[in-house]
Amino acid sequence: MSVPSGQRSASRRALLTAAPAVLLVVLVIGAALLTALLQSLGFLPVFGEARFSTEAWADGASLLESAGVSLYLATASTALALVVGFLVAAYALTAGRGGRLVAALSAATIPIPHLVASGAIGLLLADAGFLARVLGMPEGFPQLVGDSWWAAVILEFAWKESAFVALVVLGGIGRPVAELTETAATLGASARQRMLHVILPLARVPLGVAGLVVFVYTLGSYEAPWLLGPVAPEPLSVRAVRLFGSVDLSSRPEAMATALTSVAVALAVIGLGLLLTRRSRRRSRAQSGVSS
Amino acid sequence: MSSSLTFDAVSHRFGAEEVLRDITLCVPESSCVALLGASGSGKSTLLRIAAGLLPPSAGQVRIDGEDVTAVEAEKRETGLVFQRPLLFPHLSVVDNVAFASRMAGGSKAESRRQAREYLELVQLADYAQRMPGQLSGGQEQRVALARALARRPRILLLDEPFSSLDLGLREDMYELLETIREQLRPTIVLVTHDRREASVLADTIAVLEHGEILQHAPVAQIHHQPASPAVNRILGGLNEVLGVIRAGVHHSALGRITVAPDTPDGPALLMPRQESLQLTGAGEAPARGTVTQIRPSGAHTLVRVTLDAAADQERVDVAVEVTGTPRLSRGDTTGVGLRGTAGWVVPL
Amino acid sequence: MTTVTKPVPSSRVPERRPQPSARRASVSGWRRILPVVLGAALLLWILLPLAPVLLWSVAGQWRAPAPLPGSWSSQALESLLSPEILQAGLWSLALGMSVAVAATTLGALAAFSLHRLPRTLSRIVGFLLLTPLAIPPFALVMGANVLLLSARVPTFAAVLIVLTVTALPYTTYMFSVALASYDWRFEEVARTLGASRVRVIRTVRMALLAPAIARAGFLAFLVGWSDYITTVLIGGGQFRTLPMLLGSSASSTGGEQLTAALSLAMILPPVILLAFLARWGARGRISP
Repeated sequence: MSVPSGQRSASRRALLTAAPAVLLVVLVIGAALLTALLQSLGFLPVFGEARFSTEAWADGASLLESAGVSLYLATASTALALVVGFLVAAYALTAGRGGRLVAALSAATIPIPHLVASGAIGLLLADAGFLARVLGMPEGFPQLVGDSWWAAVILEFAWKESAFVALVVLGGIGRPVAELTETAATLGASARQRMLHVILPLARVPLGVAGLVVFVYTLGSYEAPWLLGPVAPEPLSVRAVRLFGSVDLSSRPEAMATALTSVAVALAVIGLGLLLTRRSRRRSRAQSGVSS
Repeated sequence: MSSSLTFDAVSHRFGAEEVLRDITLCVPESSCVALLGASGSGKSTLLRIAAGLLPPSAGQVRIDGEDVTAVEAEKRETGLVFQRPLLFPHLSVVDNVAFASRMAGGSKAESRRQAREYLELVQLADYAQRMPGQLSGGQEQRVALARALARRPRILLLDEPFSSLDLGLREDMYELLETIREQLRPTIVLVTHDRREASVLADTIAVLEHGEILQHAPVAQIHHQPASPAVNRILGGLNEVLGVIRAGVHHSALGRITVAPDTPDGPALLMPRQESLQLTGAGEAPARGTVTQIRPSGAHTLVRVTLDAAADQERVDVAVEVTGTPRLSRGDTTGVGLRGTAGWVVPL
Repeated sequence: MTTVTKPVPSSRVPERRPQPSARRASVSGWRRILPVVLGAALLLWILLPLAPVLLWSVAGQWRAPAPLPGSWSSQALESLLSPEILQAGLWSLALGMSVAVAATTLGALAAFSLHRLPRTLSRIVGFLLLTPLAIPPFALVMGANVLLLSARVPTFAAVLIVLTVTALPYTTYMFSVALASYDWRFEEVARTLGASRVRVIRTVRMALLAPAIARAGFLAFLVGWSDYITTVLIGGGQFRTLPMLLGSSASSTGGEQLTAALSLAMILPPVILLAFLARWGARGRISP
């Protein structure tokens, strides 16, 4: 079967419409990755002569350590953001007027930039911060900013991203779920049972998608770990930016190697995430097809 | 599995808008009451109040005389079926029906065993393992019905449950509901805008308009003895004949028609249903008129007649439903008479 | 034994379990309180981080153990009107608006074409347009920086280009979602009513998609308005935006008042814009 020529010219026109966006993305990302790779290998130096060298990649232990910190931050933040975000969404769907208020306030925090949120969390959680003062500066108030557990950083990510998770979940399951939870109520399900047996299973897919987005975002985010984290060890973003801005221009290849490592980790995580969602989708399809 | 349901002076307002005003209604055990009204009449709101999904602004809901107004939906033991089946998309058919039992703490195996019995009742036992998306609309609605029944509700609430189904399926559902009523004898409140559906399924009909119950009466009575012209119109009655009562007889362009003997003298509306009128030869009839419209609808034909009026009488149009196709055309003169002897009037 | 089974002609259906009469008692106090506690906890989670920002922005002296400022002052808020901060605000505004215009236009065009392309091609293009989400922004900026500077692209334009790439996945996605539920029959009806192709695009399509345009534009505006890392790494101090001022204030010790005031200056414009869009959207909504 041949494609009618009218259809072909229509799709050519459609491609042309997409061209500006696609070209921009492909050119900028392609060029950025290529330049980063070349610079990490000693080509395209800021000044001096180009010289192939794998030196920037040599300090594998330090790169791995940074990657480990980044993965730890992303994992902990994503987990907390998913739990709180789901609670917000479930509360919004089950608690009537109060639920709508919580959902609206939560959504209103989404435009707040991470930089602002980091500053706010700093003011809240620092040694003599607002929370410590409100609690009367207790003896055992834990160090949360710059501590070895990265508590303030994780809380900042979770605070911002839980609102995003709630938004995605509410958008993904939305109104039909409100009706389904009502139906469940008339069938005798308590609020807790409605949350666990109706909303949670239906929210699985939006939670998965939101989780992946949050994970990749926190993996590459700079502001919170820079402002609220300890000086060492550094996550990939902080390490890369420090090396990139260093007066010692010879650290540029190392900065690029760090940046590329973060790209590699992000891509690996996305690949894994897509694999998992596909498998779970196939499983649910197999489940539903049992007797058909 | 049945109890009686009583609304006692229930009112509800959304903001400034009063959607239900002082509703008092009793649904006896094992009976079926239809709430009939147009959209916006407040009938679905009343049902949500009965289910406990909405607290009324004022008044009480009683089940078996016990005030349940403060009891939440999940504790109230009412089963609710909406217009959309609202099957849980992540659960198989049998697990949807087993849902209530699982929530009540039943084991998976026992809940499913019970669920299968209800699926058998709605003739869908073979579909137990399917997912909701693999059913037709009619099948989904049957599962929704089975799921509500499996809760063993004291009151079964149906909110336009069949109105998204096509005609044939709707007839099947009427059959099914009749079977269910015979076997389980549930107390049913049915919300509908379809007067035929209300008449087929219910024992009594409560007519709702603008948040108020205009009349609540057995099906035949509400058709032939409407309490007001509004009820008459909502139930499809086409005729309102203005006349005067003198000594138990209604005088109008339709002639002299005997009404209930205790009817006070004075102006009154006679409301004979179009099915209760008949066309006669022009000669012997007490009332004569000119045919203005003939509208066939299959086995029946609706004939509109403008009656000849005496000088002191209002001009009156009536509609007469006749079987088959009358040999008449527009402009012909015909006689009109009431089948039976007594008429139903509402004094003005 | 809780169930009594009674035989019925076509099937067997269990009778309702006998119920304890004290049904009211089962609505226990704890059940009622739990949702309230959860709601309060969530409200606290959402609002608590904003409390110190509000307090610090109007604080004069606020020594350590005191839970509230010892004295109040409008000095920090007044300092927002200093030429340096106003200038930074204008740069941020310019950046936000430029990114909004660029990314919304390109995203809309891309989404329309995604809708029309044959399936495989549409998937490939869609995938390409999502890739910026997968690249950590600082990595993208570092690589692009070298190229853009050696191509002598002016600093502002270079920042704009990188941020537009960052914003494109969001705008494209927003439009794709809107188009998925867009009923093309509106346009067909308009054509049969005598509207020309061009008029249809202007008076029907743009009007119906206005909410999507607003949402996409808002997201893209946020990308430019709140960017820190791109401006710092590429701009190299050639122009200073609000986030840069906030970053240097928040990373140095002391100066909580200024940090708080700058935070408010960054939060309020988008919130006002959002409220405006929400009101305008509620009024101009076409479907019920």
